Amino acid sequence: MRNILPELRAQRGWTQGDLAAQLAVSRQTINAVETGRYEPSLSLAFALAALFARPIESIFQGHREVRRFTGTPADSPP
Amino acid sequence: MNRNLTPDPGRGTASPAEPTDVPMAAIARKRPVTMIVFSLVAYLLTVVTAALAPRLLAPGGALEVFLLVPMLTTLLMVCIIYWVYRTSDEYIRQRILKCAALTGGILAFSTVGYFCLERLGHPPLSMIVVNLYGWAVFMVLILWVLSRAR
Repeated sequence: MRNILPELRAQRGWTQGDLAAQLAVSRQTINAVETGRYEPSLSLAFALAALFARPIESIFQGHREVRRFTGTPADSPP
Repeated sequence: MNRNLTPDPGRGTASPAEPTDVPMAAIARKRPVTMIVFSLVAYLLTVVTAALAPRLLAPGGALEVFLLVPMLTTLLMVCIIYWVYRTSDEYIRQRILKCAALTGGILAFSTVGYFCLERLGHPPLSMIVVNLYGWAVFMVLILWVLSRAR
């Protein structure tokens, strides 16, 4: 899942540590989210959205392709 | 579609995911490595003591105490790991769980590997050796995760 956290952070002149401190998480967590190694929980995503005053969907883009047991893509019509 | 996903624009700061954990998280970031190292050292010392006690003490109450003390230090390690887990953020929690899974995998391969060596003539190992090895691997992995979590 792509995200624009580095750009948003850069606009405010924050380091990863600054952002981590405001969200009460570790800097490693912010780094993992920014690099796409970790998809944040809903609560962290909401906290990020509130901090940057933006909708969640404008910060995080892309979606995981989900397949049902039938093998058809989840977003295809039934 | 739920439009409530849009945050309040007037809101300047985010509320932490678990506000009650914040003071503990601050403590946990400073001390877990020290606590884990001390608990591991205490565990190793009690295990060594328990291993040597039968040679030095006659059977009786004192010997039983020395043999049971490693149970307490094991409990101490479990409590510390659990405390670190509870006071860590979600990503570190995930990493700790990965450490546990990795330890399980390493132990599984190691025990199967040594089983093959036993078939080739190596002496059978005590379960306490497996226990020591597993805890040591787990603690090293945990320390590696926590040392990078700044």
